[in-house]
Amino acid sequence: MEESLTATLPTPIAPAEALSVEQKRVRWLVVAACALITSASLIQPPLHQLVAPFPPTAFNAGWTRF
Amino acid sequence: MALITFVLAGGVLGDLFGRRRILLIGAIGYLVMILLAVLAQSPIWFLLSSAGAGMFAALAIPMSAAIIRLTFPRDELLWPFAAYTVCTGTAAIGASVISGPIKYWFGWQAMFVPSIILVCVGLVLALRHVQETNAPYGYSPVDYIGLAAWTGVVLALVFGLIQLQVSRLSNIVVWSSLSVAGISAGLLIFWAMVSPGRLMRNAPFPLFALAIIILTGMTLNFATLGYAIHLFNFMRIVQQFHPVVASIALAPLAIGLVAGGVLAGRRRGKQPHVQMILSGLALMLIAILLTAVAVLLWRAQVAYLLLASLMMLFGAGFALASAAWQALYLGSMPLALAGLSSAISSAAGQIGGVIASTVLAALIVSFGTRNFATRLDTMGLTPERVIEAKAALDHALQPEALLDPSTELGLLNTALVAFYQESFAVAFGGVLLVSALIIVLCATLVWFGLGPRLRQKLARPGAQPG
Repeated sequence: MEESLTATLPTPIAPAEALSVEQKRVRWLVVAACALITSASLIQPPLHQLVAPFPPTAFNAGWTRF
Repeated sequence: MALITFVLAGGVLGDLFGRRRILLIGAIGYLVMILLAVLAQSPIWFLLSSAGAGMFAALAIPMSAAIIRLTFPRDELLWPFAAYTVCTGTAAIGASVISGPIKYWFGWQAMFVPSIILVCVGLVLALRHVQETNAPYGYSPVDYIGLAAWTGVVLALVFGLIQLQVSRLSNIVVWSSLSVAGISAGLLIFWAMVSPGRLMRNAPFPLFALAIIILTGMTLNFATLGYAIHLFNFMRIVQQFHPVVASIALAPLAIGLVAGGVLAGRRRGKQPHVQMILSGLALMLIAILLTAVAVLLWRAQVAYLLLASLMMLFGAGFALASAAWQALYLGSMPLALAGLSSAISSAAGQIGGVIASTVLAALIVSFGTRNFATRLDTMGLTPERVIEAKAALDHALQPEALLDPSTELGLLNTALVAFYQESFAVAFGGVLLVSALIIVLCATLVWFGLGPRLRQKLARPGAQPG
């Protein structure tokens, strides 16, 4: 099933042993690009650190009110 | 729930119109919105640009895991997903570690700088090395919408029902999530009508197995965010760490993540993925239970070295379970559904994180308030005096409150705060036990729910269940 699907992709997914050193490096650069973009969006400062909508009350540290 | 909708939409759009294109739109949009937030001249401007950044990020995040999936063959997914988990997990923890000091020393605008640098480097690498893929092989847009709708039903129902327990019917969150569940259910019915007999025709798992996998993703994020957030609060409130110090004190979690990621990568081919998920959950469970015991036994006096060791154990367990979970899940879904599959896993993780920060916080409030009231009851205070004491506690927690034991008011405030810290420690211990119970339930579901036959299929290298 994997082969039939990869046939529609521009580059078939080759196992590591079939790749040159440069191709392996590029594959890991793709991982780096994706990991960096996701990490960047995960480290967006949380709003509670920038604005404190509620005064700190017992047990909720001022982050949420129920 | 709006963010979840964007994540699922991003997954569908990526599969249909190109994953690289949607990744770049998401990343560039995120960068622009973040820059607008930094330049904000008014709170409304800031809030709108922050919300915009979140929405563009929701498009980019599912594409990242999908592109990694499409770059490696199924049997080689553990290392890249271990690296991905370590990098993103370390960034998330690192952000909480450094954002406090950065804000403290350089101002709030500087908190955005690490994010801007990372997204710029990521964009350059993506532009140069990521290839375009879109392969709706054997699927129609209706198939994508149907799967996204089904995920929406599961996530919105779980989220809505859990929030219902916390906030009763008064909360807009409950109504919005139940509305999303209703709309998604409507889409599913529409899908079944336009494509009779095709419901989940191409699903690689039975529906219940997919639900278990989604719940596992939710649990992993739920337990991790809950552990990190409330451990931070414990160190800050009970152990009286300065917020900056309490942030930095979470660093062992990141060390554990790296160790767990390396362990996950090295287990490639040696251990079936389901067993790795269970091993990771077991490590997380042990760390949570030992933390609960330490907190309940020693309260404010619990040694930081012990907490740091348990954080490392927890981080290692999370990385092991998370990498194996992603490799198992994304490796088993059809390649043509890579974007949507990744979006489902992101959405599950996001919901788990939100539940951790809201439900566990509500439990801390509930357990802590009850424990605090019991302490005052045992002193023989009338119910009216207990209410007064709670109000006095809120006042005593204000930064400007007088905590000088040499005056009568200061002595009273100090005693109330000391009671509060004890109650907070007990509440934190209780919340950890709740998290441990949820991990046990999740592990039981994985073990029995996936079933021996399905487990064998999934464990076999190169096997494509279907």
